[in-house]
Amino acid sequence: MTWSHSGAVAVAGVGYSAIERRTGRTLGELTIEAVDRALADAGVDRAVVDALATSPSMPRYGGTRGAHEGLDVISPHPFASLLGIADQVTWIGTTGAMVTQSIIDAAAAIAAGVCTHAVVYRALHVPPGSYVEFASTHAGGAEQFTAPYGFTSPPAWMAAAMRRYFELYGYTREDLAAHIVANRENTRLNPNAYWRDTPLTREDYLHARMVSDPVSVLDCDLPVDGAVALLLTSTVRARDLRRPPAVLAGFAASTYAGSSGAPMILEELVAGAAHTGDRLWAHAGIGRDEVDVAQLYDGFGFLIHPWLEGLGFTAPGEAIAFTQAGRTRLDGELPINTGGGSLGEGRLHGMTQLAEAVAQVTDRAAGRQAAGAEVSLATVSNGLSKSTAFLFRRDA
Amino acid sequence: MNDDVPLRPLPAPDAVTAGYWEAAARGALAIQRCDACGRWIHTPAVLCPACGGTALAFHDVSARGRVHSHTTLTAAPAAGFAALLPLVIVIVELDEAAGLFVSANLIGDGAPDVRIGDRVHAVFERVTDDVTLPQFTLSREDAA
Repeated sequence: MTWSHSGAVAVAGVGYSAIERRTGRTLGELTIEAVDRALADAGVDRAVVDALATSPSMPRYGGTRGAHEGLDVISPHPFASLLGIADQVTWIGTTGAMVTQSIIDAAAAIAAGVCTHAVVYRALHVPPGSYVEFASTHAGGAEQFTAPYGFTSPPAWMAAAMRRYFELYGYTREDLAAHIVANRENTRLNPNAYWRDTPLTREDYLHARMVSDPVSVLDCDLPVDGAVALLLTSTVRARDLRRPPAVLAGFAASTYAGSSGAPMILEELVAGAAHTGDRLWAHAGIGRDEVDVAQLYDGFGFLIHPWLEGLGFTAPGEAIAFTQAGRTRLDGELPINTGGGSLGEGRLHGMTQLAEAVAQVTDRAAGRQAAGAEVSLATVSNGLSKSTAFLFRRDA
Repeated sequence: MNDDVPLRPLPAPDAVTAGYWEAAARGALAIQRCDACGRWIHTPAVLCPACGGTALAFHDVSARGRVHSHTTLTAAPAAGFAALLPLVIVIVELDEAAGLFVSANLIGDGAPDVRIGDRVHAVFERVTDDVTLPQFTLSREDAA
């Protein structure tokens, strides 16, 4: 069913903190920087903000990391005080899904008249040592069935799905290289991207250090210290602000539960993406054929392929060929990840896809602008439960 | 055991999962099944994800299946894996039910050359006096 508030809520401002591999600054400082930049982008200040929403968590793999407020996580209640706006904040959203669920929550709160100006932010910190090290001697819960086998890290989960795809359809990493290299070219046109100054060749990709075969370091987004904030308000209010509104036409949240015996099963990723897509087209009243530009989640480079197939842009087994043929480049029929995606910007948990989707329908993407983009798609995570997808359109 | 060598993370069984690890210690693979609807469940649950049933009991299974997919770790996710690299991880779809997946390592002859669809069966690797891990190895029945 089409969302009765389709078009009523918009993104009015986007702000990035400095994005660095590891910074001496606290995550609290970086998050304030991102929020103030999002507000300045819209031409407003903290006085208008009456709502905050986020996913106040960091990925953990055993051990004791992630415990310190202000360093590892930025939770919205203490953050309201830190911003000096606790007295005026009347609605706070926290989600156990990825942060982009907070966009849905905030849009619903604005549409319902619960708040007027909501800041949705994501703050991520890189702990010392290896990001995915399983730092406990024993594993409980579901991890007791993966940790003893070394199967706790997302790169290994992704690798199993990628390996199955390769063997089913006859691809190798050489076939992925065209997308990875083209994606870095897009990255170099994006001033917010961590990798903007670093060229990447096909040979670099093929010889990259392997983490869990066939996933190399260049198949994974890079953990970074940084924060991104988006200001949401009503489309009517946004029209009076500094930037053109990116109008939220609709969204979808996946409830497609995967198997519990393995974290990522290839066929389930595709089916979850299809489930999410069916909801998205119906909710926005916009069809797949109307999408001009797509920001597909690429916390791993391979994740764009289950999305392309599940959303119906290509047939099963054809997504890699689709990206090899140039059809997903900036001048192609469906430009993908025009700002370099998560692979280019760093690990910002889907805020990358949203910020770029906004940029494309507000003519703010400069050298990486897809000409005349009217409808902009963003997908986040892997299609399974807790994934989200969004359609933004240019303001009429 | 040599106390100087870091161990891989060990399972910490609890009331929900103890049946799995007790079976492994006697050389069997046991999977939960819902008494009410017959659904096989792994990893162990408190409520049947299909029907909500709470009468879930462990049953020894064939311990045979096919490789759904695999990956080879070349970086150690914890210090205890450093000496085990490269380490093959397999997702096995057990013969008992479509979509019944168990993840473990693939050990023994031919492991580095595994392909999806290969037949495998469980073997049991004693890693401490108290802990035995179900693992898989390639079955040669198809090649015979």
